Amino acid sequence: MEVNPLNIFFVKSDSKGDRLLFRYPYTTDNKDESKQKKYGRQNPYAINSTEDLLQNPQSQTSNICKGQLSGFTDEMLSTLFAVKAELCNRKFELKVNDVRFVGHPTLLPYRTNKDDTATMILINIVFALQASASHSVVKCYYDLSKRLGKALRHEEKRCSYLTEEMKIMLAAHDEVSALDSEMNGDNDDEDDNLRHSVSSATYSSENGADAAPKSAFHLILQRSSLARSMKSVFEELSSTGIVQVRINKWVLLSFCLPHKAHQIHNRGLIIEPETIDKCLQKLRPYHGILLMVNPNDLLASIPLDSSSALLRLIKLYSPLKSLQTLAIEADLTLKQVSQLTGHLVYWAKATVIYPLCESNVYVVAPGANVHIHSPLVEEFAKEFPSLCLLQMLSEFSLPAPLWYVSRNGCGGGGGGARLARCVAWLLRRRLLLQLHTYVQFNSPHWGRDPDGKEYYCEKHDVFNQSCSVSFSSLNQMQLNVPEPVEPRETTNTFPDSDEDYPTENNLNQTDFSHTKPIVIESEHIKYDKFREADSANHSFDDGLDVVDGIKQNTNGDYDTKEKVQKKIQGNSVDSGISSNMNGTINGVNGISEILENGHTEISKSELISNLSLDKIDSDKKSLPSRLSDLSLKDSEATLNKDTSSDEDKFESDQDISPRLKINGMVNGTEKKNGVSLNLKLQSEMSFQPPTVWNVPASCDVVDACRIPNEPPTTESLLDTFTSEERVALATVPASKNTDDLLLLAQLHKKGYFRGEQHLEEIMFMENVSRSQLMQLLDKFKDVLITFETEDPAVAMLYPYQ
Amino acid sequence: MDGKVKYYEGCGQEGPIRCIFLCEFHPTAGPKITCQVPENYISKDIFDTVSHYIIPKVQLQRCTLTVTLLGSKILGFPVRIDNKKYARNAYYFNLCFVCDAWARTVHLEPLVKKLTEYLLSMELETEWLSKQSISGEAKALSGVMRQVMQDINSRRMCTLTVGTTTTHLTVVRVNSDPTPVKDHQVPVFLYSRHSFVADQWDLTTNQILPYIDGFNHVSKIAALTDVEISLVRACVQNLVYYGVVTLVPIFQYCAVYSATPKLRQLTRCAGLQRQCVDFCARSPRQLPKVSDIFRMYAGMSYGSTIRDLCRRMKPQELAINERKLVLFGVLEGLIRRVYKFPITLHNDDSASILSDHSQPLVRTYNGLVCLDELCCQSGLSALQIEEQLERDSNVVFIVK
Repeated sequence: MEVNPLNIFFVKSDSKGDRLLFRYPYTTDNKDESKQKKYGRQNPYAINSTEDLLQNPQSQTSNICKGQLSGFTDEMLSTLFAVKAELCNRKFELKVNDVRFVGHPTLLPYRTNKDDTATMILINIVFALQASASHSVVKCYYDLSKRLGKALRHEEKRCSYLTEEMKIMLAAHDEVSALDSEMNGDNDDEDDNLRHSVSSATYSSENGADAAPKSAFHLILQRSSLARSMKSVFEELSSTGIVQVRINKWVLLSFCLPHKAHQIHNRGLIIEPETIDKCLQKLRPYHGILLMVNPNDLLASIPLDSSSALLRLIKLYSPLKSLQTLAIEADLTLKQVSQLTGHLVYWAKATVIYPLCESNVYVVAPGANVHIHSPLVEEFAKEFPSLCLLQMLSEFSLPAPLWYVSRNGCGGGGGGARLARCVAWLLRRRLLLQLHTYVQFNSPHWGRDPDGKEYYCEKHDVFNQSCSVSFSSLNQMQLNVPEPVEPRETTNTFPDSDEDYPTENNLNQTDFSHTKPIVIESEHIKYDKFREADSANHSFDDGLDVVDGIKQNTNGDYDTKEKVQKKIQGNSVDSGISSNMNGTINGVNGISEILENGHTEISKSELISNLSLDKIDSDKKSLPSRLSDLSLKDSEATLNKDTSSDEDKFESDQDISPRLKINGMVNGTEKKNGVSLNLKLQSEMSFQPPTVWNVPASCDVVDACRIPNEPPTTESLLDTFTSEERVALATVPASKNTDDLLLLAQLHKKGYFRGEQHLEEIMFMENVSRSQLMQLLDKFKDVLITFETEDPAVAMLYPYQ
Repeated sequence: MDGKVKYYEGCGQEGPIRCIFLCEFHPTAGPKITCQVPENYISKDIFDTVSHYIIPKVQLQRCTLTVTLLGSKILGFPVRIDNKKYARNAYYFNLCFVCDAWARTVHLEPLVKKLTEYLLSMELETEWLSKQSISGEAKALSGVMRQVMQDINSRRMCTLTVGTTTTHLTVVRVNSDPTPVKDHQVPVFLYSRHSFVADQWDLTTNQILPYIDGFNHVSKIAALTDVEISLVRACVQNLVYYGVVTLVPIFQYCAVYSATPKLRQLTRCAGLQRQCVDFCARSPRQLPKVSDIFRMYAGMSYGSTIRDLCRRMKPQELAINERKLVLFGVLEGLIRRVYKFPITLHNDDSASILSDHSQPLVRTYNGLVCLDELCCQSGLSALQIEEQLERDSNVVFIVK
């Protein structure tokens, strides 16, 4: 509730003074005075003392009355919002009692009628919010005010739109006040400062039937398109939180208030942009997206000039696909896909899930608001006629994989597809939560780094002190007085101009780059050299540019090359994916296929084949998962050969992953890697050890190449365990089996047994099958501890209890 | 830089008062700062740009105004005294607190108001304030302001004595209202009880304090202390508001808990581990192993009760007190309770079934009341209630 705006104001200030030109809603109740008297205590037993001489008069404590702003006259507001020039183009925030005003005063050149000399005028579009609105809500409103200001500045520059609209508004104000002075001619000598406020107060005598205009604002709303735009901004904010307004039928302003927008689908679910940021940082290629709306509706609602990448992504969307699969199918980089996911989540069009799969384990989410009279029960019955929501949820009482639930026959007669639809529905409403299994290696040294240091998290660092803190008096709690964050000198930097829009975010330490809407303004604004106008490019960083760049550079031979790429993708990509899913057998097939391809080429194949033979030799003994790694490796190499003529061009492009460049350097023989974006992407993801996801320095590709030279022995891999751990391992009978021990050692070495990665992640990253892992867990259950909990990245978007 | 990361705008943390100043409307010079502690924190330029929020128009008198501009937050409570004795027939003043822009300031608002009221009454009685400003130095005033700033920043309370009058200022945390306390919930101290000063609290609270041990639930406390249960609820709610206690679910061997993502902290943070080992030990002489504790927590999942877990792991042999283990886990957020909510299905033929069973009292379960609460209401054990519900084919359980 507190995210809704109370009011929107439009104030100008120029050489002729300040004026409140428009406000919406403008029907302030004319019984203001009588209501304010009620604010005192309403104790029926209290004696109404006429005047308490000892007490000071009760001050006004609330300016909100029945959800509407009260107690402010228009004139007062206009003086408050017409700030001094020093405060222009920066955040304006004022709190009066329980109302918070936020706006972005914009100073812009303005043509007066008489001479063509431009003078400056200040406009301020201010939103009134409840003071309890959270800081991130305030920030979003500030952003909206800023964008409105910019759109108006642009339109003023283009066609003097603001001048025209202001003329209409001022004329309407004058008209009404003239009419007013005619009607109450004898009341002319009333207080001067009431002159302006007259325009907002409705005439009590004229309640509808009278033809005369009710208030200046009513007139303005009829005549001015800007006023209508502001009205629709206000109304869209209060209803859906998503604003799509075309200012002067020219500049499209799209804005989303995520706190509100997410409530369209889930009442009471407030998701802050900061949460989405955090969630995106934790996003991994195996995550998937679940659209909250019908994909066709979504496609229809997207403006024409949106990014084609987004359209492609939505067309290929399925809740069964991981981001990686989507990226490959839509021919995008993983980074692009996660940026797009960020957009979709921000705009409440999607949520992040682990792709639907029969082996997923779901339970009822702790915050699920289900009761007997819940509207969800009806909705569910409408969607799935023969099923009952409550019964369905009770099936998820025990953590069992989905296939088990479906075998129990609760999916109705519809089989798996229907159950999947049903689960998707429940996930959208945040009624189900997925549980994952995490593994922790039971090491004798808990909480110690390899170098023996003890780690303390921030909270428990003060463990010893916190127990001894004397709370002798509750009011004497220690307040840590931090040093001033910013010296006052630095705060007086120049006000922000258009260019520093992105850097402004740095001040607040939250990255809002993806939270820009998909389309902010029409492309016409690009002429204005707005860096952020083209939001798509801006927020996708360089990912998109790479793709575009290629298309421009290589006109002629692009097609042929594309075909080649496609062909190879067909092999390698498929093998990659299928091996992910079906385990090792396909991986082996994939490798033989690709090796065949590879051997038809000559250029570098000698080296490659040597390499691969080595690998195969070693792999025969060691881990099957290596094979698929190898297949990717090879496919990349094959590709290099196929398109060697084009390589240089791609080299010159901005690379998506600097790491691969490093790899190229390190390997030397493979300097010319990274031809197809897709393959790069794939290799990037398959080779990535998740623990070093963002660390460019450590690259597993190098490992993969080095290992064949020194085939892994039990001894070398056992080095990853400490001596105590080895003793513990020796007592486990399963450690007699070298294969099992090797797999364990390898996974342990990569840090999968620190409770950070769930089984699905290990399966995805290391290309092992679930049964393999389960067997391993079972065999080593004395040293491996498993626990089931939710994936924090996904759980973040759930309402917390 | 570290400071910046921690203290960004909207971090929700309280900050210190950086400056206190008194601003007046001078009959000729207009708004001006009479006195400021420390000197020149708010420069003349900055003051001029914001002055019309500090000495505002008539309608905004006696409103708490907070303006966030140029990297600081200025809180004020502008006041006007109408009297013929002043030049221009009125005296305007505003005592303002200045904080960093990132800081939360809601808790300071009552303070500003009270201090202003104090100055106002002194002005009305003895013209103390206007005399101070006329004298030009305002020594007494700046002394008062310095004392307020120091005391509030360090002790969060301040006792001011000017002449013969005294006023007390304290910062009270502004929290949202705590949810109503239910009978089946268990209050538990967040601080060591030895550091708790009993004489700050009322008699009823003092009466129930010894029984708040982290295991007794509200209705049991009421029974043990012979205090009316609604009073116990009110006291506990009050304690929750002040952050002295928190509420945890009641410990039962049939209860189900589930590990949370936070559990992995236990593998890493030595501080947490030590705290946990100390807390969960059966006797201080024999401390349990962290790995055993972790194993216990890891074993908590949907579908396995504490009873099952204890049978499997035998915490007695591991020197673990399972009650304390659960309490610690809940307090630290390592585990969360999984509740069972019975809910009645809407079946059209329900009426006929009920008549067949001819049960006099068949209540419907709306899915908002968990089993614990039902037990507490009916005075039956969880097992009995569950048996009773199992018989009713219209009732299903939602576990969350």
